[in-house]
Amino acid sequence: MLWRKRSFHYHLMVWPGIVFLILFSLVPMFYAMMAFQDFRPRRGITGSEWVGFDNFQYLFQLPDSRTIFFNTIFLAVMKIIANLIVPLVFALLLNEVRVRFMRRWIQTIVYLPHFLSWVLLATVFFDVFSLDGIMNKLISLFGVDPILFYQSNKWFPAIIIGTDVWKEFGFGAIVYLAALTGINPVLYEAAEIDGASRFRQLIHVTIPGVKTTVILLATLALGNVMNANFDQIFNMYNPLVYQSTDIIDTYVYRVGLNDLQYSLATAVGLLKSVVSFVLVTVSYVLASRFANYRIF
Amino acid sequence: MANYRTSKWMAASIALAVLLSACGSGGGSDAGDGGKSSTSSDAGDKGTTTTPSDAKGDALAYEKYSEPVSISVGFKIPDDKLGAGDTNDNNPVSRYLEGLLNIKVTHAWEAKGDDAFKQKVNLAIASNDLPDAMVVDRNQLRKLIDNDMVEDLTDVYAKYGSELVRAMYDSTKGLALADATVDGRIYGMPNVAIEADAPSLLWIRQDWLDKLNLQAPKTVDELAAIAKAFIEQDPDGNGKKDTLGLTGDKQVVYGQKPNPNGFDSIFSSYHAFPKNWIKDKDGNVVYGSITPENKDALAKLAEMYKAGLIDPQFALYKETQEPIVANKTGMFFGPWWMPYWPLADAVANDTKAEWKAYATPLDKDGKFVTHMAPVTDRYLVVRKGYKNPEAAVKLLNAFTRIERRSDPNKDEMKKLDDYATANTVQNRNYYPFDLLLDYSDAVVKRYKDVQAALKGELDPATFDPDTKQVYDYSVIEKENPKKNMDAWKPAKAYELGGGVLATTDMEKIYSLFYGTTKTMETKWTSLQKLENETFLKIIVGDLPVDAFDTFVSDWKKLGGDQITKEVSDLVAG
Repeated sequence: MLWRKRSFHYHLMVWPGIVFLILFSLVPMFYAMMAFQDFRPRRGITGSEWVGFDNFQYLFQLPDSRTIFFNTIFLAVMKIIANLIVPLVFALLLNEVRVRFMRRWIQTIVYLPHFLSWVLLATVFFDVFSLDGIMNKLISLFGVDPILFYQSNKWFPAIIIGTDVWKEFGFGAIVYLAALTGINPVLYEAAEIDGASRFRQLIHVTIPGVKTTVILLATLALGNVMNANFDQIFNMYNPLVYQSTDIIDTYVYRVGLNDLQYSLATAVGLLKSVVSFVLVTVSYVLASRFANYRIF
Repeated sequence: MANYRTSKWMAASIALAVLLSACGSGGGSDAGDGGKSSTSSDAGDKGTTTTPSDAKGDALAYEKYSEPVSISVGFKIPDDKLGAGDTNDNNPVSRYLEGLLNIKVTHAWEAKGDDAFKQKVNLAIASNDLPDAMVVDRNQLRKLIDNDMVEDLTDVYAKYGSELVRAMYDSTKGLALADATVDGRIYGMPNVAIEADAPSLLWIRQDWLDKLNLQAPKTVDELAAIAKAFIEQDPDGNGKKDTLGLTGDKQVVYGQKPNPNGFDSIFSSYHAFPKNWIKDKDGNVVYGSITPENKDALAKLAEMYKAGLIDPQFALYKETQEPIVANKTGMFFGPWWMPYWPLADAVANDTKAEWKAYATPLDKDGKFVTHMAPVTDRYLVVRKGYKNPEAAVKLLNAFTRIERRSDPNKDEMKKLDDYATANTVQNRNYYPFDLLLDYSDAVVKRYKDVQAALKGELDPATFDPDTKQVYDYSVIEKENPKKNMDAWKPAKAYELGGGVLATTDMEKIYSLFYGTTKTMETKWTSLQKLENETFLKIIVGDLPVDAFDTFVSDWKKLGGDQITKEVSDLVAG
């Protein structure tokens, strides 16, 4: 009886998540059938004509599809890598800060951007990187000609990755900081007695201590290889940089909602889901092998 | 035991979750359906029982329902700020219309801006959940007719269409209604665009020109020279080099009905008509964006962009009018109504600004060439199954009568006008549907009449209400320039924009085709994307001008040839 009382609130917390999952992930699965139909809204999902793999065939003929798949994977992989390394380095550095209240302050400030919306940030960054923005003023001090960052296919992907890291690294660092506090202080004492310097302690105690966490996060992130962040890109891009930053999600949005090609958009989305599914499975296998992580 | 309990709990919680979600969606759809069916059946009953059959013509067109009828619409939210206490669905305009016709208009949803509105309509179509009536564009109308989602309005229009609405549809010689007609049945009430909306004129700061001792440009090269002077010679006199040359839009050209910042007129001065279907020298139908003339225009634009004469960031603005409103630029392209928007905002920010319109640049023979626009591009449709389709037509009758200033209820009209002035709102933004009707030659005719009256050649008392209002505002503006922006807008739009259109001899190119063919349905989107990206990249220098040739051959290969054939067949047949 005691046990029931104690676990009840956990279940309560799970329910909203499950409802959400069913409404937005399971129910739409049924409509994925649209990808194999010539979907007509009036006739609905049951009355529309079946066309087999026509939509997929057309998809692979489109000159855009190679670009969008490449962009999605490229941007997502770069973000995953950067979002692993930057927070780790930051957490390690922060861990060495001795003044306690400074540490707290810095930690709080850097994770604030995580809570800002991309709609807002897109406007801010547009000004920062515009022709008479801070960035161009800064580089003009070094005698560099102004650069139109937002319409350069060379710079824009870097901006997308960089701003994403800026927004998320503080939040990502929390997990590492937690792992760092979990390291037994006895190990540091022993290292100190053995005459290890701060740097030696970092190499031989701290890093091995967070290694499993890093591996776990890295493998779990694999599942996101097809997610390059619609919110961010949709709010920041423009036609001139479609070539380097148009991703699957933005493409599906434009084709499906702007151009009313429901079936084609669904086909693209479904393809993305299939690839994601494979990657999630792989990442789970890897996670359970290298980091002993198990769901079931 | 613990294990067993866990799984039991697990099962219970999942079951409950499923139940909850079922309830949630069930409840939602219940409420939705309930709301809809009750309104439509209510409305239906009352509509059928209370419509007397003895009324005819205009008496019937504006007849008040004896029992309230309700209609849900999709509403486009304007920029205007209403007076205190008023809302988008409850304001003087909506209250007047409700009082007049006893039709309760409710907003099924609202969207701000053209893009958001279009997406909402698309979403409504995709989910088969239409409001009772809404305004759609050409592609959406076609989709709705194909899917049998909208009411046939032929009989309703025949019975309830007002004299005024009919007269304006007739002024297009049947073209407007034909556009919304399939197999002899009318499925939407089209707008009537005025012819004057098509040409894109050069708007230029006359005070800057005068200050720098420059003449208005005639050719593209002169235009470029002025852009250079505007950038380098500090025309706004603030001692900073912060002015731009020509501004642009990321769509490059609008093709049919221009908004601010299209390069349409530059292309047409080279006899290139992108986004229109035209006949080539041999009489074959050809898509206007792939003719060799485009290459010349693009080469010129690229040269100007490289020299910094076109706003370097023109493709990046979220809203194209930003540099105009901020008074950063002294020249841009736009149709005759620019003084209404965005120039009114620009002049409000800088009252020294004196804008003028010119029909330039000219082609090599010294002639102004322009593409024209379709007669209609928006349609009022009624959801299939809505019981009172005539309510939508009656609303159209009523607000068209207000807009054309022919409403006989003078006191009420005065109140609406006063309200609009007091709160600087435009009443037209609060009609249930954003669908204006006018005579297709209205602008030029009104301009000529008003000018004649100002010279004392015509008696303004004989004018129709629309012309009279333009005349009155022109008088107010003449006496007290820029004091009353409500007067400034129409006075300047007609004087400058209308004036240029009335006095310029133009070569008008009409597109041969505005609809959608079978192949277009699937391939047009990617072709347009290819076109837009290529044009943009050539202008900003990401691609060499010769990339245009590659674009043409790609365009043909990717379905363009097939589409050209289909369009030729449709035009010929």
